[in-house]
Amino acid sequence: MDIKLLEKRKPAIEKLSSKFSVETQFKLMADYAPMPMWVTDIYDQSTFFNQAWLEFTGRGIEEEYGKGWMEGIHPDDLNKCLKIYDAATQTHKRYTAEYRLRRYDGQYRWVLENGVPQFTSEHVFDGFCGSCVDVHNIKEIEHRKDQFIVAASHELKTPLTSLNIYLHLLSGIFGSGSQEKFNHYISGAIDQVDKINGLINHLLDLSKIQSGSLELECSVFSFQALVKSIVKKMRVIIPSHEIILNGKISGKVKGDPERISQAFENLLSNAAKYSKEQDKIIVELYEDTKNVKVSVTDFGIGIAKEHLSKIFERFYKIPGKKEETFPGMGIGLYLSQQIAKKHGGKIEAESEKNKETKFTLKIPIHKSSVKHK
Amino acid sequence: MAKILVVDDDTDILSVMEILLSMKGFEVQVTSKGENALPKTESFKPDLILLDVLISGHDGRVICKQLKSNRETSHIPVIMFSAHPGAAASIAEYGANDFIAKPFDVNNLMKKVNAQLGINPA
Repeated sequence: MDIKLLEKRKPAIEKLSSKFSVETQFKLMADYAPMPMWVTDIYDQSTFFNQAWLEFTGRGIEEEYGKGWMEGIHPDDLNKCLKIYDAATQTHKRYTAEYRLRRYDGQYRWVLENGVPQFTSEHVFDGFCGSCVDVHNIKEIEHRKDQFIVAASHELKTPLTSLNIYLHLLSGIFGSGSQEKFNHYISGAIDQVDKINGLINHLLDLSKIQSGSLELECSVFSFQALVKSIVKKMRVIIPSHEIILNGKISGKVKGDPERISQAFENLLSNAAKYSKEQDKIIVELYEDTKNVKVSVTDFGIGIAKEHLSKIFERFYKIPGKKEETFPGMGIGLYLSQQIAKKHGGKIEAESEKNKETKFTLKIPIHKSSVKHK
Repeated sequence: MAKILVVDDDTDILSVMEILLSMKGFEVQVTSKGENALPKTESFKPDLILLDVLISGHDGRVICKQLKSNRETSHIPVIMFSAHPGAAASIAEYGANDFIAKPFDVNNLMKKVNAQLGINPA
């Protein structure tokens, strides 16, 4: 600890010292601290671990003493850590290190370690005192955000590629007198502009939801009529799949038809996207006393159980060799779920890897329309 | 007339590439499905393959490696393309002959295509 700081706190420490030795006080404090802490001597051998450390690693203090703690560091991070420790021991300077530490349950968690050199009252180096903060969740979110930026740039570049070629073709055809080709290329270029615009709107919706400024333009309408009209539209957009519509319902909902359409369309285009080798999507309408529901089932690659709870999270893209070859920014389901929730509803997912996938969008029935039934 | 096969999961790219390459005087076939790449190569016998890196469920690099390890198809030059940053770095080990990043300049693409086909544009 800093000598000046010690001197400043001397009166308080002396007061405590009448009850406990300084060493006992340190150990008491360290044991009450929520983060893992440790102390090493001048030979870089550990001499102390607090309760939080032992609880985190799930190991006994005897196992951790000396160099025992090294066993808990992820093998891929150990060399990097040892280099940092060596340098710090030689220079007697403060350091930070990020590494994966094995938790009691066997999971490696990213921790951020802060090491502070200790000196005796004669200013002689006396080892290090360090603490670790679990930064695993932060690291995971950071990683997901980096992946999102990569995915978003990929998505935006794809229509730009087509647009670029169309414009190149136009510049070649212009003046050659073929009106038909000219129109075809112009509409090709415009379609790609629309796609880029759609992608940018998704990004804007994302920031609107984040800031809580997504406004709904509500009206009361027939859910069945809306679903039917979207299925009709999507049959044109997704010619690769037959969209089969089953079920009849009468419930009306109060909401923003544009936004609900957006959520439902997203479920349909996902169904087509992840079942490229299949040609069927089943849409089913049903209702109970509280909600109208529409489910979308595809027979594609499926979703493993461990990812089902995460697919509605922002930027989440299912990891895996096959999964990572699909385009997308990892925001469609997040946006759709937020839209459903804004209407008091929900989207639920059922699937297994390589099994059929069923998404169900549920919106509460508008009360006054129930009375008229 | 030289034959080119284009493999990309984005059908917009396929249709505009088909227009472009036909206009430049090539015979073109396209497919948006990774699993069709090998059968199409065997039936169409292209002189050059333009292959996307990420093809919805398939890794274009793996397809490239398969093409290059098959005696019937190993001689066909493959140009890979991708909008994915960093994709270029990983393609050489799969045997691809060249790479072009999306969005690409058409003249640049044509230069690479002609180079692979040994065509000297007038």
